[in-house]
Amino acid sequence: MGANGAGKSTLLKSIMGELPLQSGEVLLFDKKISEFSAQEKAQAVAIVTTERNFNPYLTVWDVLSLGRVPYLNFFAQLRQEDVQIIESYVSLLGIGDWLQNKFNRLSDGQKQKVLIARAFIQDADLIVLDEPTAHLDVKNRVEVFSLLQKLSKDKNKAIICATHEINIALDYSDRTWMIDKHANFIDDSSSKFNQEIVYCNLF
Amino acid sequence: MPILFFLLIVLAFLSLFLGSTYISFSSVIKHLLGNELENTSSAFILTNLRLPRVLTAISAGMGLSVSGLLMQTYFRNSLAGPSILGISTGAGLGVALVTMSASLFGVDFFLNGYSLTIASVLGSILVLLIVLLLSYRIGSGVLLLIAGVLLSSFIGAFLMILQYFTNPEDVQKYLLWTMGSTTTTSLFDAVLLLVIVIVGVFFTFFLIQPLNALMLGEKYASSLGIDLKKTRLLIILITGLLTGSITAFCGPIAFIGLAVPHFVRMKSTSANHNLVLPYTALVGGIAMLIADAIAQVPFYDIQLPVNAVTSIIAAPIIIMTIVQLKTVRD
Repeated sequence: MGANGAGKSTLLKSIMGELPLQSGEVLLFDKKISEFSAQEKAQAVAIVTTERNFNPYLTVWDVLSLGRVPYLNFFAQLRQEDVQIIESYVSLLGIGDWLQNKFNRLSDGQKQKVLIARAFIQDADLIVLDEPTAHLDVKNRVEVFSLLQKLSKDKNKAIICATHEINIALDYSDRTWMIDKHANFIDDSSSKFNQEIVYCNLF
Repeated sequence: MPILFFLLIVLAFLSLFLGSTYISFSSVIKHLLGNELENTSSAFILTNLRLPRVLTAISAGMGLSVSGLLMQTYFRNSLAGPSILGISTGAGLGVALVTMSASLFGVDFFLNGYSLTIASVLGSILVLLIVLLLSYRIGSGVLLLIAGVLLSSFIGAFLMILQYFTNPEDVQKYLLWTMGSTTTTSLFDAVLLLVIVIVGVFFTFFLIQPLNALMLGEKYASSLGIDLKKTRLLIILITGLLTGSITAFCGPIAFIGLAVPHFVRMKSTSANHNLVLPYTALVGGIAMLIADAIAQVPFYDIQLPVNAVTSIIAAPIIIMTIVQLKTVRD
């Protein structure tokens, strides 16, 4: 959590090895992120960004199957195991009715659900989300976080997420970190944050 | 897909009968099987006019459509294509400089037909690089298209100045070239062009995964393990090679590269390039054969410029697409 411009996205980019580090190292499962090959990294970290400018012809099924790119050969033909993985998430999230729809035609809430499913289908151990609830209404915001919590428990994945949803995040996360107004990095290891602490430090 | 391939072969075969001279069915078969014909003029027409024309049409249609597909996917802009982004004009500048060099600079760069091809490939790669640099600054939306159109007229202005200072003969040569044609190539050149196009399309098959991932944008593509730099370089080289060499041989063929990928994507159940790419190549070849057949004006002793035909067919398709895309977006 952090105010706009505090550096949440920058931090996430550094974690994913997209930005050069000024000092220190990012370790992922005891290995430096800079030492991962492109394919290894794709199998270790999946992302959900706020980007929505996709090819207009993409169907929901296409978007989901793109999660399997790191596992396919050059011809991009889905194997049976890939189809099984995709279908398991489709039934888990109840998105079977949209599969042939164009992704661009979905509502914002539906799009986010599909993108989260895509990230899980990538079968990486860590999933990084940048403001997954931007543009969503209250009902969808709660739904996204409860979905993330459920999936992370069921599928045993680590999820890191930058967000402005202080209330929801405190309820649904195991750990929270703040980048406060003085650019200090505070974690909740000593005492669990509550709303008051967060508001005092952020703004 | 086998049906389309079959259709392509059938159309190519039928196309051998088109032209002002009547050649019988049995003669064509005989000639294709490598037997001597008694009528030497028929043999000459088949070898030096019709076969090259058919091969050139197929190569041009395939190559331009695949280039268009690459650009549309890479720029995530459904209206990107060799003619819109100024790539063809870039190739045209290369060609103009070579054809007019003698009267302009007193040095004849026109060593042989291939200096034209090389100049054209270089011209299109140059414009591609400019478009790519622009896309970093202004994104890949409508602004990029406008920039492409402006770039096109910017280069067009130089072309106009070149023409103004050149002798009329060279200008006429150049103008004929701009109308587009599949008939000016020899059999050897036609086979050469086909080989170039097959090589280009072959390498595109190694881009299926990157192209698929790029439909989500560069960030997602890189998170899926795609090497963006390598992909970008390959796309530029392939598009430059295809557009450049085809443009050198046939002139700046309009709209095929824009319309065919669209048509295929509209009909396709999936956006996966392992489906869209081969279909685009096949439909491209077929579309160009049809356009070429119309340009031959069957049963009449005249020929139309291919460019006029492709524009007349493709422009309505593109407008339909824009309307449809609008409804997809809303």
